[in-house]
Parts: sequence; structure tokens; C-alpha cells
Amino acid sequence: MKNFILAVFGTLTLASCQQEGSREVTSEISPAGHPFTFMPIYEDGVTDITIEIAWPTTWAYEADKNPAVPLVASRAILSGGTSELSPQDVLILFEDKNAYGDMLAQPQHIIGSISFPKEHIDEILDVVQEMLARPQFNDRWLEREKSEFASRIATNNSTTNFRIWTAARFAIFGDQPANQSLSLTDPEIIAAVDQSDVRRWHRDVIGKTGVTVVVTGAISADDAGNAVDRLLADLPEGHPVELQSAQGNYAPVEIYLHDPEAPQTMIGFVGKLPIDEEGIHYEDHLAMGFFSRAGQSPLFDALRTELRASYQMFGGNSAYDRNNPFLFIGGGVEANKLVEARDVIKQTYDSYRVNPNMEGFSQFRAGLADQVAENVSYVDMAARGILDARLNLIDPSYVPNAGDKVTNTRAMDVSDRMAKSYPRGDQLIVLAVGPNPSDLPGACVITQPEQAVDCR
Amino acid sequence: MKFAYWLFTAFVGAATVGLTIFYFKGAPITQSPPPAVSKGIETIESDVFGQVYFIHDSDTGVVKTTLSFPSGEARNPYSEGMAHYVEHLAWASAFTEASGAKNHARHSNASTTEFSTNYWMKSSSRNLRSTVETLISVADPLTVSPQFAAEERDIILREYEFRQAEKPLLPIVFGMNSDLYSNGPLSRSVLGTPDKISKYWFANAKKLHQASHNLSEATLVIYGDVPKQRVKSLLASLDVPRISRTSVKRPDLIATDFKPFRNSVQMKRPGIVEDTYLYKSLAPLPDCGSVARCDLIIWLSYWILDSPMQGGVAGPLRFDDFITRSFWMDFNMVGTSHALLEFDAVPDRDANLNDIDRVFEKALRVAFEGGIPQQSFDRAKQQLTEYLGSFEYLEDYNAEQTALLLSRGAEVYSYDEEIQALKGIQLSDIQGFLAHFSNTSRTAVRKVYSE
Repeated sequence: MKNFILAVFGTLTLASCQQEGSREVTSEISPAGHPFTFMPIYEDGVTDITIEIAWPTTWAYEADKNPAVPLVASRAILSGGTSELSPQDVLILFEDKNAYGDMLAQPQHIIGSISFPKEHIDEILDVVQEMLARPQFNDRWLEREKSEFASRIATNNSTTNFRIWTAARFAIFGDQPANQSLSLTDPEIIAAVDQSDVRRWHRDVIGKTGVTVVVTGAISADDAGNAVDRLLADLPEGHPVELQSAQGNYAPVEIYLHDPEAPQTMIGFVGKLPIDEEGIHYEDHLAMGFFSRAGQSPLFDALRTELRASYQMFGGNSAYDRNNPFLFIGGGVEANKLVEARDVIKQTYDSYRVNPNMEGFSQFRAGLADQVAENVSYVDMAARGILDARLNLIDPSYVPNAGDKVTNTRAMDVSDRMAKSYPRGDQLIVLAVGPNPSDLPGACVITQPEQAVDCR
Repeated sequence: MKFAYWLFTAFVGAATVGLTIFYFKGAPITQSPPPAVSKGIETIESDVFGQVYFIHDSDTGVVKTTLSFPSGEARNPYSEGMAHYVEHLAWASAFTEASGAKNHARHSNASTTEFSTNYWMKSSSRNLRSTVETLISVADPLTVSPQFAAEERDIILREYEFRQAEKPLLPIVFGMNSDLYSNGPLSRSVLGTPDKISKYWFANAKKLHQASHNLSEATLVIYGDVPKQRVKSLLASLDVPRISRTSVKRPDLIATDFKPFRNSVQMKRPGIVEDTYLYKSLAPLPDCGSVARCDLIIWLSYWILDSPMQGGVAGPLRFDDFITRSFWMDFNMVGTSHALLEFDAVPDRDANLNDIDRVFEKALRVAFEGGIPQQSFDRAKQQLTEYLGSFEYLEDYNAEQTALLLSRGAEVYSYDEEIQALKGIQLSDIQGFLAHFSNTSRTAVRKVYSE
């Protein structure tokens, strides 16, 4: 495609054109009795609607289930067409109508999403309703999806960047079933997925009970309720699901993944972040973002400017599931400076954790706030933000103003949280990958990421 | 959105649970409003720079200033990748000089392409003078120490490891480029290779810097919340030597005696995880008008070829039969004289690379020989019109586009010119372009088998 810019899509909020009730988050009940969260956007130029549905699942946490099934089946629902429309026809229809669909398998939820212009609501809902209720699961399309995942795994397994974080997960979760889902490293597991597996998964997971639904965009509450009912109408009732979570062991350990063929040496750190009722902590994102921002940050200064050991280091926060939030730091380093890099990163992190220099923080925060505010101005992004809040059991009413929430997070809030709740440098899990284990004396040496469980 | 998600999950292998709005950018979600009219890209006379573009945007609150030199790796006569090394050293020198200390200016960055070397900074309008002065100082003689320069080679080696070391298909792609460009300047690697990077000579870097970082050839782009008059005053009062403008004729980057060929090679390489089909086809552009019009003709061609519509390759390859499990296509101008069609694919379970070769070539032949129906063209043009019409931040778009066109070695054009160009394109333009492309192209195919 033209190698130009792709961004700058917009549903810019024009306050003067905004009608009453626009971007207010409310809880609604559809005519058929399905609760959903609703945020209308009545603004000039905004014509799209997004519907998000999250199906709760414990599949990834059950030892007798093949963890690849949700990944393959959720993709196959989208790609397989319907009884009346071929996969090609569905794709052309969506492209013609400027519609977009996705289905994402996470450990605790399957998240389906569709976005489309309001005038195409009937055509799109007809097709999606059919896909959800009666997926084709054609054998050849299933094989295609399986091959795609197997290929992705093989590609990932061949990269240092992927293997280091896989080793981290095996160090933290060991052989728990959830980790089989998070860390699919064995193509045979995917090869074993068959027609009966995906149909069983579909029957078990894609039902009406326990779903979390969000509707945003150019639609009224009544029409949104009707749309929700249409999508769920033909699904089985399903059954209540009690969400499960993996038990992580974040005790410090030092591991060297020895790969004689590794073309680079990489170091990574993982530490547990605290969980509390608020679910998402903007302080965490600000803390780790400020620590590791490119070009001028404690991490960049220490590793590139001072030690001259690295081109670029990364840091951030994420979550394996909702009970396992974590911080991470990582990047490629010069092999013969690996020990120094480890020590410098720990020292830099510790110093930042207890006594951060927050000069430039307000500028960084303003940039992040702008980015978040822009993100939630989009119909689909607002829907996902609200869904995330719902799944975290927190009030989603802040989402339209999430940028303000970032702006209102003070440097003191960030430093207080780090000082009180963050693991010390010597409490972090340390991992390295490279061709020479003597670069990190004393580490538990393994040759495959899965062996990290043996370092415990 | 899916792509962004996968990138993140691949990195740390975790779900971005509850953090979505920090990471995702929105997808196209509006239906097109009537195309807006941008304020456009203005030029400002300068006796310091080769040219100056100004894009006013009072909504951004910041000013982004870009300085682009029309010399990238393709104009580098020294070791491969040295233009990029010079960019690192020039940037470090500029900041050492500007601040006298370690000021790495986090709102700044630099890039090197085959065609240009580019530096940019974000600042407030209040700091615009110091920003422009800092950018200008990248043209001053390099002041970093020899030790720093030696260490920077190691940093670039880490960058190579980060960007390229684990991409086993890349050396094959470079080999295809060597064939297509007859081992000419455009077949050079911008990042270089470890054996060459580790032997860069600081003395040669200084020579290349002096030859390539000439303000009289450079383009300055100022975008943001600053009045034009203030920019003009600032430029007039800069304390740098004024230029006497001379026109420099540079040799063509692609030899003019361009002879078509097609080569196809089968190979096995270590580290390749699955059989992969690689295709590149390069041809001189026909007379398609302005850069904007040529770009849009190529973009529309791509939009059809890449699609499941009749005339596209997705139908024959993915839907009529199970030939490719996945494929990727791209179609772009190279500089201002040529166009490059690229295609990669992996076979479906019961197909092989010869099947892909056969079906893909046949599908292309159909498209090249007038097989794109009017309906597909109309549909593609409508989709592309809606896509371009969905942009609202047009000043930002113009600024990004200007920087990208400079990095491509192309003439600058605006969003409005792009919209106008698209309106005028007919199916016959696409057919004429594709016919010319297929008749004059060099094609390199690699069937790469995993071990």
C-alpha cells in the first residue's frame, strides 16, 4: 500500500455539535433482559457503532482442555463465512460497508467486537448473528487457522525476544494449565485441535449467560438493546462461570536461557505489581512509562548513555490475567556487559522506586493524557475501555474522560505507590538469553524456556 | 488494532488486561464526511535552506520541526550503512554542542533512509529558535570524541541485533534487491551488516557528514502552533552563512538502461521456519503525471490487487482454492522514477511454493492484461475515497506526509492535491499503468524452503 500515514482517523469531539446525553455511560437492559453498558455518541461526523461482547471462560485453566482450541475456534468463527455467504463474500461485504470485526481469546474472556456505520446495522448484524450462533467450522478453514497459529508459534519460538518472556512465564506459573494457554510453545497442541473440540468449545463458551456487553456510538439506547438481543438471540443459554486465575510465583530467581545460536544477548526483569479494588492503576503506567521512555529516562540514561551497553531498553506494566499484574524491563545488551547491565538496571530501578527524579514528569503525563484522551474519543476504543472497566469490576463512567484521570494523577501519587507497593530490585525475576552462560555467572542455566520451571 | 495487540502480546506474552486505552489507536470508525479542505502546505523563502515548508496548526499546542537532507544510504560512497552511523554521530554532536551536557532531548529523533537523512524535534513555539538552531547544528563538523564514535558502533550493532538479526529472510530480500537494482545504490542496506558496522572509520564518517549535511540542500519543515510571520522573522535572523544557490545534478539511483528480466531461484536457508514465496517486481514509471497522481494510481492498483474483489489475487489464492494460508502485498513508488510490487506468501497445507507461483502469476497476468472489471475499480475508488475522507486532522496529515515524502526522496504534495488526483483517475489509467508495468518490469522470485 502507499507507504504513507495510516493514522489520524477521527471522531473528533466537537462540543458545539454535541447533543445532550452524548458520551454518558449508562447501564441498560435490552428488551429480552440482557444487561449492557451503553455510551451513545451524538456528534457531527460520528456515524459508527461498536458492539463488544465478552464471554467468560475457564477453558484455559482446565487441565483436560486443549489450550489452543479457543485461539483457533475464535478465529475460525470470523473467517469461516456463513451458511449463505462464503468467507470471501463476508470479507467483501465488510470491506464494502466499512465494517470491522475481531474475536480475541484471552485467558478469562473471549472478546468479540464489531464496528460498522449505522446505516448498515441490519446487514452486519444478520451476518454476525449467524456467525456467532452457527459458525461453519469448515475443516479446511480450521486447518488453515491451525497452520497459522502453528506458524506463528514456530516463528515466535525462533526469536530471542519471545523466548525470554516465555521463560519468565514458566518461572512464574510453571506447568499450570493457564500457562499452556499463555505460552503455547508446542505446535503439536495446535495440530491436535479437531472439529469436535471447536464445536464443544463453542457450545460451552459462546452463550447468553454471564456475558458482558458494551454498545457505543451513533445509536439510541432502544436500538442498542435491540441490537444486543439480535446478536445473542440464537445462542444457547449457557451456564454461570466462576472465573479462575493462575497462581504466580514471583519470587526472585536468576535464569540464563542458553542458546548457542542466539544472535544477540537480551536481559529481562519481571516483578509482581499489587492488586487492589481499583483494578487499573494509572500510577503504574505512568511510573513505568516515565522510567523507560525512549531518549531520556533513567533507564535510557543508565544503559545507553552511561554504560553504553544497549541500543534501546523497554519497560512497562501488563497483566497475565486480572490477578496477575506485573512490571517488566527488558532489551538487548552487549554480552560482555551483561552483569554490569543487570546491576545497573537494578540500581537504577531501585533508586527510581524510592527516590525518583520527576523532572519532566508533567510533560510526559501531558503526552500520555493526550494519547489516552484521543484513544477514548474513538467509538471502538471507548467501547473497549468501558469493557475493560466492566471486566475489572470498576465503574466505567470515567472512560470518556480517561485523559483527565491521567492528568489528575500527581507525581506524588506515582512515587508513593512505587515506594509502598513495588518490589525491590533484588525481588525481581532476572532472565537473560544468549549464546554464553558464563556471561551471567551463578544463574540457573536452561536450554529451553519451559525448563525455567526447574529453576524453582 | 489487531496488529497492535499482537505486537504487544508477542513482546511480553500477556494480555493487555485493563490497559487497552493506553496502547491502542483507534481503527477507522467513521463513515466519510465530505472531504475537508486543509490549509495546505506553504513555502517560505530562505537563503539558508534549500527549501522551507510551513504548515500552520493552531490546535496542536506544539511545534514539530524537521530538517531533511537529501542524502541517504544510496548516496553514501563509503561502507554500507555509514549514512546511518553519521546520523547517530551528528545528532550526538548537535546535542553536546547545543547544551554542553547530556541533553538527549526526548522529544527528538532522527532517521536515515535510502534517500534522505532526517532530524526532528518537538518544542513549544517559544523555544522554536533554539530548536531550529539545534537542528542546524547537525550540519556543523562532528564534535564527538573518537572514543564516543567507537562506542557508537557498538550501539549500532545492538540496533542491528534489535531490528534485523533475527529475520532470516532479510539476506534473501537484500539479494533480490541486488538483482533488481543491478547492485546499484538502492540495493544497499541502510543499517549495514555487523562485519561492516564494526569496522566503520570515524575519518570516513566525518567526510560523509561533510558531503551530505549541507544546509543549502536541506529542507526545513515547520508544523504547528506558530504564526508564519514569526517563522519568517526567525529564519531571516538566523546566525548562519547565507547560501549562493547552485543546482547540483546527481547521478540516477537506478541506471537508465533498464532491461526487463525475470529470475526465479529455489533455496534452503537455516532459520526459516516455513516454506516461503518471495516476489519483487520493479519497473520504470510511465508518464503518469504528478507524484501525487502516480502515487494514487499505484495505491488504487494495490487496493484492487490485494483484495478479494475480481481482479485481485486474494480470490484465486485464498478463496477459490486453498493455495496460500496467508500473504502480504505492497506496491509503492521507488524515488520518483520507478514502482515496486512486492508479495510474500506461505502455502496452505496441501499446496506448495510452485502452486503459489503458478496461481499468483496467473492472477497477476489477468489483472495486467485488462482483467480488472469496472465494478472492482469503482468499489476500490469508493473505498479509498471514503478512507481518505475519514481523516480529520488534515494539518497533522500534511505534516506527516511531507516528512514521509522527503524520506522517500519524492516531491512534496498536500492532502488536497491527493484528493484531486484521486478524483481524476479512471480505470483506463490503472489498466495503462499495469500494462506498462508488466511489459517493462524486472522480477525476482525466491522459493525459500525450510530445512
